Amino acid sequence: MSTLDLDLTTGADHLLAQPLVYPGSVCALPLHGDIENLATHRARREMPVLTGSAFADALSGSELTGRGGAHVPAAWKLTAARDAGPGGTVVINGAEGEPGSAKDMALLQTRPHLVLEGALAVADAIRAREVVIWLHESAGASRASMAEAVRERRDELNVRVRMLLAPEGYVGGEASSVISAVRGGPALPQFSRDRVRPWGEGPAVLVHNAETHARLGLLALGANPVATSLVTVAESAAPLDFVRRTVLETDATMTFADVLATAGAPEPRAVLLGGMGGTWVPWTHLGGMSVDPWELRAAGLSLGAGIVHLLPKGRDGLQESVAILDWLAEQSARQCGPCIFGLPALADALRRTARGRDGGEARRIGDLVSGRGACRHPDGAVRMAMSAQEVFGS
Amino acid sequence: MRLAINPAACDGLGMCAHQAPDVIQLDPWGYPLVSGDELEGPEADQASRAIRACPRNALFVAK
Repeated sequence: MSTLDLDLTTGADHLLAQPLVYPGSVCALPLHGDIENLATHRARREMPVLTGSAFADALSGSELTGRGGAHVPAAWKLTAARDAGPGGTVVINGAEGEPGSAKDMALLQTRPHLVLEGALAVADAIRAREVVIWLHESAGASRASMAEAVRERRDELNVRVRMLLAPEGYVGGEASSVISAVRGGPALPQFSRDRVRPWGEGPAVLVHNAETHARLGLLALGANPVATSLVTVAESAAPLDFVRRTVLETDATMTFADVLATAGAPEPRAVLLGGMGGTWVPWTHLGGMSVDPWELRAAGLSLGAGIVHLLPKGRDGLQESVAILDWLAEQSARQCGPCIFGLPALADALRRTARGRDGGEARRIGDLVSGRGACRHPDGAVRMAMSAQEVFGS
Repeated sequence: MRLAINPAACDGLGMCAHQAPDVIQLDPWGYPLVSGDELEGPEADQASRAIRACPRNALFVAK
C-alpha cells in the first residue's frame, strides 16, 4: 500500500486504515500493516494545532476516557497532573498484559507518530520533564517502530524520550506498577485508591495506554478523539491458546455481529468481554448489541480493554473459566494475601462447580476476595468467575 | 476514626486481630478483614492498638 492510499483510507477521526490480523500470540508486524512514517503523519495535518492550555481545554470539552479498562476521564488525570507542577513524566504504556489484546501493539506498530503526538501534547500541557515508552522486552516489532519514530523526530523534541522495558506478565502493565518502575522501584502494583492521582505526592507520573495516547494525538491534531473504539477479536484453539487476533475499529453503528463478520470469525457460543477479568455474555445476548459504551454500560457490561474473546461452540465455558482463573492466579504479583490464597481457592471452587458440585462456594470466596488487593487484579478474576457461574452454571 | 489496610504490606501475621478482636476478623488464610466503618470509644481504642502492633505498618487511619 502506498502513502497515498493510506491518506485516502484512514479518516481523520480514525486510527486504523483496515483491520489488522495477528496470527499466533507473538509481537510481530501484522499482515497488511504499514508503518506510518513522519512524512505521512505530517501530510495529514500541517502541524499539531493544539498545545498547552488550548489542548487541556479541548480535552476538558471531550468525553475521552482511558482505554485500558478503568475508563477514567483523561481530562481529570491531565488536570491533576498540571496541578502537581512541572517536572513530571508522561508514560506511553505499551505493556499489554492481556494475552487476547493486540490493539495497543497495532497502534505502536502502524501509527507510532500519532501515539507520540498524544504523549508530546500531554507532556507540553503538564510541563513534563520526560516521556517514557513502557514496552515488554519481547515486543520486538513495537520497540523497533517506536524507536524509529523517536529517531525521526530527534531534532525537534524538547523533552527527553526514553524506552523502559517492562517485565513479562499480566500486572507489569498495571498503572501503579509502571509508576513504581519509572521511579526506579519494582514493577509491582502499589497500594493507592486514588484513580486520578495514583502517583501520590510530587510531580506527576501520568500513565496512558497506547490507544489513549493515539486518541490524545487525534485531539491535538484537531480531530474527534472519541468517534471510534478499537477492539481485538481473539480466537483460540484451546483455552488461552490464541491463534488469531484481529484488531478493528468500531463505532456505535456496528453490532457485535458486524464486528465478527468484519473479523471473519465464526459465531461463538459466548464472549468474554473486556479481558481475562471481564464478563461472560452469551452470544444470543451480545450479537445484536451495538459496540456503544453507553448501551453496554446500561446492560451492566464494559468493553474493558476492548477484548472480544470468543468461546467457540462446543467448548465448555466453565472449563475455560477454570483455565483462565488458574492462569490469573499464576499472574498474581504475590504481594497481597487475599490474591495469593484467594484466587487458587476460587479456581478450585469453580472446578468443583464444573464437575456439577455447586455449593455456592465460589460466590462465598469471591465475596471474600473482591476489593482486597492493592490493585484490581483479584476483582477482575472474581468478576469473570461470577459471570461464568451465571452464564454456564446449571 | 476509620481503619484501613495496605494489602501489599500485610503479611497476615495476625497481631491486629489479637489487639482488636471486636474490630478485626481474620479470613480463612489469616489476613485481616477491615470493615471501614466509623469506629468510636473502645472499638477505636482497639483499632489504635492494632495499628501500633502491626510489625509491617500495614494498618492506618483512613482519611
